[in-house]
Amino acid sequence: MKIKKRWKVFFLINGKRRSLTIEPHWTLLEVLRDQLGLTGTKKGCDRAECGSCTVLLEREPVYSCQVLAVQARGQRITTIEGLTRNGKLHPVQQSFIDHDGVQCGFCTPGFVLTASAFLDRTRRPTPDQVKQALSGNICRCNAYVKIIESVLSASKRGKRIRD
Amino acid sequence: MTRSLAVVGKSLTRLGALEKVTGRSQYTGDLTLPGMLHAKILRSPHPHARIVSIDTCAAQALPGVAAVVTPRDVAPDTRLQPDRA
Repeated sequence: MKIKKRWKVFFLINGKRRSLTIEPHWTLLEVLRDQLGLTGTKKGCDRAECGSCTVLLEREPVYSCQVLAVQARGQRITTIEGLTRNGKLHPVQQSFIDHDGVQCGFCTPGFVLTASAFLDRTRRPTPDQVKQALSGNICRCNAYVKIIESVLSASKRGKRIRD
Repeated sequence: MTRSLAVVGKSLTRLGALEKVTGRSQYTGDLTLPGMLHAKILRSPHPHARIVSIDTCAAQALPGVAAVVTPRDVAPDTRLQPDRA
């Protein structure tokens, strides 16, 4: 079997079609950060523990360090850079500012994206549901109380903005 | 004495919060500079051992390697000295 060393692919990233040539062993995280310059997606552990690299793949949160970029070809990807629409913050982003759900900020993009996908599915979550939904994201500043407050508050804000 | 205070007693938004929730904050690992090189530190695989020699030939021969730095490349008076107390 012949192994393809280079793949010509495209992704629908934050509503824009991006074409590029990638190698089959590159992760989605590496392509986003190193090839496309989207450094809002963070590389924390690179081994599916911390959730800093969370992006939305077809609107579902995934650890982009665990997805090979070729697996995501042709699919819709939302990164933190794509959550703001026409200069307007997503309700979750605004809530994280208002409720101080941010400390050093390294885990914040992952938390915000996980929370936004969760609130798309769950309109009036309980605190326990929020904790469960965010259990795949780690905050080393230990800002959990305010992060959970931020998400609960966002659930009471306006409707989310769709792409 | 009563004076109105600008900051004390007020709830203020964290500086940089907007940049952090939008992913625009730049962390060290996010920086790219012209001509930037990457460094890798090789540590001892043994918890307690004496370094007898370091052979850097194979590392130096790798494509794209700019430099291999060992204690020999550091001026003697700046080296860490063993504690003889």
